[in-house]
Amino acid sequence: MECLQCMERLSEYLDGELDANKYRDIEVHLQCCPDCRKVMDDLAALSKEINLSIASIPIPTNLTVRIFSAIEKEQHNTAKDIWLTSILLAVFASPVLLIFSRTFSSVFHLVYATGSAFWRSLMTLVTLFSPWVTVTMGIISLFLMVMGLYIIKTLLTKFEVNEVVL
Amino acid sequence: MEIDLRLIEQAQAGDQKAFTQLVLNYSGYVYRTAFAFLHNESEAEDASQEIFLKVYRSIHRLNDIHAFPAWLKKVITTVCLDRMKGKQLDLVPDSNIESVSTTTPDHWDRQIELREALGKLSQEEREIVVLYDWQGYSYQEIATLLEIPLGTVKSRLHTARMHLRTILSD
Repeated sequence: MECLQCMERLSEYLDGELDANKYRDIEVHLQCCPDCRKVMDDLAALSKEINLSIASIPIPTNLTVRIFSAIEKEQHNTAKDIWLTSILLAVFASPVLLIFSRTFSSVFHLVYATGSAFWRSLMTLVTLFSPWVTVTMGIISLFLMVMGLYIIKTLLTKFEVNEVVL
Repeated sequence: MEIDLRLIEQAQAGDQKAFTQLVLNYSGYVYRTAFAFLHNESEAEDASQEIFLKVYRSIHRLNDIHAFPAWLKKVITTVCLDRMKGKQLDLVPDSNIESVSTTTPDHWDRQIELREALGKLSQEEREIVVLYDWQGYSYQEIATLLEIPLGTVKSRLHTARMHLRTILSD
């Protein structure tokens, strides 16, 4: 085995990531090559030293205080979220509850009856026109709706919004 | 990492005191790992904060408390790798480390020297060294974490170590 081939595999050799044959080849080479052995010794020492070095990193004194205050804020936000969800649920559930109220049920019925009468009148009016007139009116109003949407979209895209960077 | 299973169990059940103790027990490890990855004091502090928030939010979802160390390690790695992505962090050693170097025994000088050398590695090299040598992930696990081929893990780790050796010998 050449030195270059041995050098390339030294990390895998040290980490036990080589198969038995390659491992043996490198062992044989290391026994007769002091240069490669020196590199191997350096790399082996380096791995241990890296751990010692990271383990001795000084910890900022206010670290735990910062972590606890972040958690406290999170707890506060969670409590706020629970309140907000409860309020939203109450707001959305209230119309359902109103049905059980006699007065509001009467109001709902009145609205329904008025709407229904209005709808029947409209249908009667429509039957007075010829089918061609109603179809043409439908197509024109559909066209106007699409055009209106297009104009609104064009107007909105013309607005430029400047992003605020804090 | 020594684990206190009872403490984890209590923290899972919502015991605030147990969680406080958990933070006190693991904040050193979390910060040191974050610093090893990011090599920037304020980034490491922010990362530690984010890591413990994630732990706080999801510790109750951990099914096997024996898996806590591996789970915490994964949270740390994910947060740090995410922060490293697309970020060119300050490679100048922090003032704290320099101040320590003037007041500490000789054998600490070598550790500080090594820490500074780690900071001089590229982000890719540093992350692989930290993942293997400090975090204890296997080659295959690193390949999965970084989404790179196994061969790349082998060559990148070896290149990083050789680079570190060159920096230290200069």
